Amino acid sequence: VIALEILAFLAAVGAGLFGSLAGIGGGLIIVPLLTIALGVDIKTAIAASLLGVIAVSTAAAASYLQHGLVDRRLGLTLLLATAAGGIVGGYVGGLLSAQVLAAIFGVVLVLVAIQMLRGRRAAPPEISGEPVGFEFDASFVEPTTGVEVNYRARRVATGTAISLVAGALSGLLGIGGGVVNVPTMNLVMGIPIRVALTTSTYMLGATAAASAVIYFSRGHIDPTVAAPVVVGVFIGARIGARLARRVPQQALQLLFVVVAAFFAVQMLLRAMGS
Amino acid sequence: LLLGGTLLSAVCFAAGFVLGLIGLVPTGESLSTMGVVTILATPAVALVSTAMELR
Repeated sequence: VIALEILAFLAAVGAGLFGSLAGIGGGLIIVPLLTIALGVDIKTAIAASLLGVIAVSTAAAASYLQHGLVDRRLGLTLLLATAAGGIVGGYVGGLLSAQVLAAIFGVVLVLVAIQMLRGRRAAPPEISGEPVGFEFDASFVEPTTGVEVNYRARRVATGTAISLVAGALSGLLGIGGGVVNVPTMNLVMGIPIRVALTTSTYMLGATAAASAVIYFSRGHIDPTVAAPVVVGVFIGARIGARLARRVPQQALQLLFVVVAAFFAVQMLLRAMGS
Repeated sequence: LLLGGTLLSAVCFAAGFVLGLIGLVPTGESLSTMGVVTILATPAVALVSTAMELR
């Protein structure tokens, strides 16, 4: 058990560090690492990863809130959908077999890797006229320039519907959900990328908590795995946040694509019983 | 609130992890479970406080 705890801790530090540097969080790395390398049951790994997601995202969100970078209105609106999705994902995750979960995880890894290779980002569209329907206007001060940026949250209903899927994926696979939330807010809703990133982080903690409660009630949270994973991911992410500006982002993202492809193949092989 | 809850749970998890390593497994597990409960409650409490602030 002690060897497992130390290995889980080291794996979590690596996943938190790498995930933070590549900008995708640690969940996508820690779950396959625990499952494939350490032989941890996939549901226990997902539950531990969710706790790691909560720890990292709530700590980061506290700082973003202090600096006024979170759109709380947008966050609370979308959170209703992601939390509902998280509960559904957590519930369904408990019903699916390890093979099916591994297969879904493998497919999601491939999709995230493709999305990272495409790397699309959009500048917020010009604001004209009054907001209609569920639209609303907001602003934030860009910390690098000190300039106030005004934007309009558009297609709120569509964004909310997609957030439901993001929450379900988070609960199902123990990942943050930012891989869906951030592009949705930026590309679909017209939210500036910085606010999309910070608001997504703000939402992740509560989303992961909603599904982690389901895993907790089912007894899938093993303290001997959860403790080293939470501490490790937390430490790794903090180191990653400090190193992020010094490491070439594109090279890291390419490395992530290679690692994701490797884990995707391993998870799909596991799903097929190999 | 968010930072306080996260730090408290991180301390519980870290203590649980270390106690487990030195052989005090039941105490370590109790502390880790306390960490689990704290970390699950933190976002919920923070959300309620944010919603009240926005009202």
